[in-house]
Amino acid sequence: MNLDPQIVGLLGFVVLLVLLVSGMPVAFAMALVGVVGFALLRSPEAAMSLLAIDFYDTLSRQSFTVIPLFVLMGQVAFHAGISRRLFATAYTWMGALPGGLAMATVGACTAFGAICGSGPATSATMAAVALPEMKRYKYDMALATGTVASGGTLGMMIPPSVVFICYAILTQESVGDLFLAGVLPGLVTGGLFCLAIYALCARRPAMGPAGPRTTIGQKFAALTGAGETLVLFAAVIGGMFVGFFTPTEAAAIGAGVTILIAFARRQLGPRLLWRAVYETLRTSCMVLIIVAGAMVFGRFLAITSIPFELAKWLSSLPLPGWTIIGVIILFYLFAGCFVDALALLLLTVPIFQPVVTGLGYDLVWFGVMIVLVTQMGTITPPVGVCAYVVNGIERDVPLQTVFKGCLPFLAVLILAAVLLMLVPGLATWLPEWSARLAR
Amino acid sequence: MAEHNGSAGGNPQATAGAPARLTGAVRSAFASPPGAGPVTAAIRILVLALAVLGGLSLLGMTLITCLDVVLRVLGRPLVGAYDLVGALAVLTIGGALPYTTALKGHVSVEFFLHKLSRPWRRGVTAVADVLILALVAVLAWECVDYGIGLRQRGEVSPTLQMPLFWMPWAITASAGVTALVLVHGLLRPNRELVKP
Repeated sequence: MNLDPQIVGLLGFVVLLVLLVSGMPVAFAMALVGVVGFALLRSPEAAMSLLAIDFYDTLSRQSFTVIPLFVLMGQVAFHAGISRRLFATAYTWMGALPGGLAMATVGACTAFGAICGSGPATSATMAAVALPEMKRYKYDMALATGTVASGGTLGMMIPPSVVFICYAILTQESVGDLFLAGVLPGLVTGGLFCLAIYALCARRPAMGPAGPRTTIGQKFAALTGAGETLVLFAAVIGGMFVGFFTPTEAAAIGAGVTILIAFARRQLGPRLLWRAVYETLRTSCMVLIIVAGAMVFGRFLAITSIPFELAKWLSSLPLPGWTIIGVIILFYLFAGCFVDALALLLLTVPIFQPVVTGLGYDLVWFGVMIVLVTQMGTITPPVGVCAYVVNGIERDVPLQTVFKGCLPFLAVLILAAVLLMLVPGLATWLPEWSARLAR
Repeated sequence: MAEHNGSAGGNPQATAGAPARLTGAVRSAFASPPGAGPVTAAIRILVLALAVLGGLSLLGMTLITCLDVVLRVLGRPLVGAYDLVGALAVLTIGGALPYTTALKGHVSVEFFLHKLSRPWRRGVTAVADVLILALVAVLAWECVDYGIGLRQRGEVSPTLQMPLFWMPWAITASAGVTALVLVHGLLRPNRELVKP
């Protein structure tokens, strides 16, 4: 029987959607549809051995170990209280401004994002550190929780970032380039978050009362709290950019040095280390099994030729490229409300990659845009994982208050996306500059 | 991402009496909850043993890569680091798969599922679990075949010349225990196998 690959492909999408809606884990749903689809279009034997090959390949590939190693680095930093010292430093510098505590939280999130590659992990660690302080100074809890949830999303953009690593795996782009591309948008977004907080608190001072003033001496003395983060970031990300480390080596050195610092400061014992290891296992397995599922699904997609046909059709439309990119971004924004950011990325990038390249857009720029949009997905209802994490820690504040507090930051993220659309250089300048330096 | 939401912060006393506390923690982690039958206890031990193997492999991977970088600076890179890290990667994620499955730690879209009534939700979840069970069983079976193929062809790692056939078999073991976790979940939907 000769089946039309595109019809089977479309049916595959329908079945995948049904499986996802039924609550089946994304990784297994993708693998299942991929295997069955491949079996229908090729042969059951080929499909089943493909499953083994793709899982073995994903699990044994040395370059993919970058994911567990960076996750371990973030987990150790999380358990060792590095975030507490970062917050204290940022607070000494910004605490006296209206909304200063909230701005300090954003500052600390930005810095913590430089050693932790996950948005929810950054939100979780900052919720535990910053929310009690903001409560003490009688901050508006919508603003406080919204700041922590939204600030945490900066961890996805600022390198190292697990989302960028997965995007790099899918698109064959350089992890280093993507990490560099995330720096400026991450800093700009962090700065815009602070401006938004300042504007809100200047208009309604009761939302974020200013804290006590600090002297210049205190400010400079507080910088030591950010020392270890700076050293780690410089060693890990700097070492990678100058070509001294591969991303995997950078991640291992980062994890190793973070463990050593935490042990030396007596903030990490074997028990906490083991807890960090367990959390790392869980997160890395979750990510890598989705990667394996996406690999199997990707093989099926490739033989249906749907992504290429879609790219051909979209390129032939009498529309400017930016409108099509805009529609793709709107799709991510909408779907991101329901599906986990990383899963959505792994599921859809193979479909949109040919469209984006066909329209002549840079894949590194697109990666940054997608991360920015998925940041939005983590703070929008109904499935906003960063908001959930903050709500899980701060049980007294209803979830809808957290989501309400995220609204100004959502507006900022939309503004950042528009900025990135208008000034693509925000994402591409640093990688281009680094490439010129390397030559 | 479905990640932790535990409390952050360092523990200045964390290192005091650490080995004894760690041993205690490991012992209590492996102890079965009251009322668990021998089969549940056996599956639980298998899941946790694989998780421990995964954790040790993760730390080993970190150590080997760090050592390789340091020795490279000294002009004597660690021979076979690449091969060893690849092998440990299989053990890390292979070891973590049953544990993550037992904790229901995989990403899923639960929004619509929670709109269903309890019996419907249980039914839909059971059907999904049976499908995953079939997939995992096929994976386990195919990895046995794949390993046999690697063994017959005598495939070895590039530097250490280490045989590769055992790595797909490690995935078989992982998928096999994951299948047991799924069967346990289907037969005893309300009983937690392991705690986070």
